Amino acid sequence: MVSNGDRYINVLDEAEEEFSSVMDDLQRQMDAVVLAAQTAETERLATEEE
Amino acid sequence: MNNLEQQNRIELARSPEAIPGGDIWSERLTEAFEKRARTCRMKSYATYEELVREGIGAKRLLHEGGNSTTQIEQLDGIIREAHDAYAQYSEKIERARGARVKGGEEMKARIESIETEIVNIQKLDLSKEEKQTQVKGKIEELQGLAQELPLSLSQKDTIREVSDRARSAVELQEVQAPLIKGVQSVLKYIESENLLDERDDDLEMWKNRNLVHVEQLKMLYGGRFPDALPAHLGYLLMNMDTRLDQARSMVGRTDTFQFALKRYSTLVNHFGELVEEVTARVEIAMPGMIERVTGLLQEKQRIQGSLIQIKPEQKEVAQNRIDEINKDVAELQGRLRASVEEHVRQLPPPEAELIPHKQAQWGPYLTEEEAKNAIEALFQANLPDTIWLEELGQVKALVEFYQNRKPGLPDEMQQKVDNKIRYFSLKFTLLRDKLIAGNIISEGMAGLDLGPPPEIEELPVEQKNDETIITSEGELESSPQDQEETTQPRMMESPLESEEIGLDEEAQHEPGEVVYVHRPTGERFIIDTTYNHVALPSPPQMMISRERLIASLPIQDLQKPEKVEAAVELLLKRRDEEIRLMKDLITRGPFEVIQEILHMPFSDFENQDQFTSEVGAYMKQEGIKINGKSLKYIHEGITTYLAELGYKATADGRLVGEVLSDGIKFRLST
Repeated sequence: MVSNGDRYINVLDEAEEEFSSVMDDLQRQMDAVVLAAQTAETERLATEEE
Repeated sequence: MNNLEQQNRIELARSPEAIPGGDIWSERLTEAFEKRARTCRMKSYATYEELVREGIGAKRLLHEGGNSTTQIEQLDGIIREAHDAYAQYSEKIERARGARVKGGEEMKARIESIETEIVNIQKLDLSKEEKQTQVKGKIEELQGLAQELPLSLSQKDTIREVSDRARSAVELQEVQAPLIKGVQSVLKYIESENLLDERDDDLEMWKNRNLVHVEQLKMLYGGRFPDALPAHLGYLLMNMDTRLDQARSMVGRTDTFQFALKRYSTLVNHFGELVEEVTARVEIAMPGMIERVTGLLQEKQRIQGSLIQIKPEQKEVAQNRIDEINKDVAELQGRLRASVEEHVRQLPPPEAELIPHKQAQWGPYLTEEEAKNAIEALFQANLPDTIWLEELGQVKALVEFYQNRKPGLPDEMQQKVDNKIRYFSLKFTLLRDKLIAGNIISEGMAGLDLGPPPEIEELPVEQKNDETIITSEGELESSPQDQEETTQPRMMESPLESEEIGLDEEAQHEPGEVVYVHRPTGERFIIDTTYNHVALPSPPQMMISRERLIASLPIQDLQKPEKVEAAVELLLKRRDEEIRLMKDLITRGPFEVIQEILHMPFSDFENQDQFTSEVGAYMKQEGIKINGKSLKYIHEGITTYLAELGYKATADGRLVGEVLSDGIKFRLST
């Protein structure tokens, strides 16, 4: 049986877990944007050299 | 008890010192909650801050690089989402806090109300039985409220046990006092729960500190980590894992936990220093190399994290880049690894305590002086006496274990075992002297004979001549002749007893030899010297000296009843002496509990479970920390000793001694 005391603390854990998953997702999105920008930049430079 | 007395007791019970009330219970709950909230908040804030900072940095780079505004806007969007997510998270925490405060207030109010109700029950015009029934009901409710606290299952069991004890006491018509004690015990355990949290935090902190260095070393060492690490670092890593496991298993035991944590943190520090030292040396030898590898690995990680989200046509470019990075990193790490290995070889060997026991030996690895310094450095730790006593018992057990293991082993193994025996004998001697110097054990009780340490065979001749051998007596012997003398096992020397029983101290007895012992009064006993000493199970206080055993062995050559009487008298005297010694120990601190044992009916000794549960409950009540294993040892120690004295406990609690003489059994009863 989960006591009330445990329950209060479980709420904290759940909130943290949820927040952490949102942050992971945002991090992935950010990495993708940066990589896309870098790739575009590399391609642009290659085209210019040609 | 008259009304006034009863009223006084009730008033006493109501005072804040005597009976901690609901506010303290509620406070404990608040503390546990806030602590967790703080940890969660800090962790989440760090993640959030890092993401936002990275986003802003990326925006600036893209802007400077003249990238399209679309990507910059995308980053803005991500940062905004992170702000929103953190705000929502904070709100959730606040809501949980509100709910907890409300719950805590309710619990506090209810506990206070139960206290008042218990006091009021005392005032009611009811029969004693009815009052008891009502108070029992209130205690059960208190117990239920305790279940609401955020405690571990084992602590909930303890609370249940405390309540059960309080209930039994109620049945014995002692209503108020046990209730107070019960509540106080519960609070004590709640406090210890907070301590446990802190201990977990301590371990976590050291573990994280260690991880940083492990990662650093992993980066330097590449894919072959940790299998191919130089032995020096490999041992340390392995030993740290062992120590961490030990410390984890001891979280619930105050004293031993401190000791284990100390050992673990010492190793972590040492390992950290080594890794820093090696890194610094590699950095000097190959400037910029570490930074290059770190940069490449970070880039690879970033690309890998983004692979699933990029367009198919970009994937090939990304994968090619990863392949390039892998190739470069492998090449650079190969060079780093060679450099690490070279520099690790140049480092001094770790101190004895920092390496696993199988390496903790002097001779080829450490000099005796180094081993001594390392052991003494360990003693600098400010730890309770009980830990050192426990350690003393453990070290002695290790020496005996290796001494028993040695016969029959191949030569090369024997040499290794000798090294271990020598190391632990030294540790034992130093620790024993420390305990005597600190008045923690008396010289008499510390007279444990480990036998002489084995000679060092592997050292060059010139070193061997100067070698200082430490005898079991803790004396430093420097001449070969002196060493020779110490090869005979030495007995514990207790002037009082040796004089009393007329033992010839100069004589060297072979095991199994029959020896006559004379008392000043003229009696002559035949004794068997098979045992140099009787080593009862630890703790070490239970060691019994050879002399005391001699005096209590079966007496076979007494012809006359008056001599039997004298023998019985001696037997009794020995028992009294043992009890006196125990009492001596009791006054010195760590084994106060024996005092309680001495007052127990001897019949209780017959049932070990009963013994451990009774004594365990007593100690718990008195706040004395001791584990079940030690209790078992104490039980075994006392019963073995009594049996050796020829005593056994009877069902009605008397202690009976039997002495045989010419086939006639003489009985003695307490």
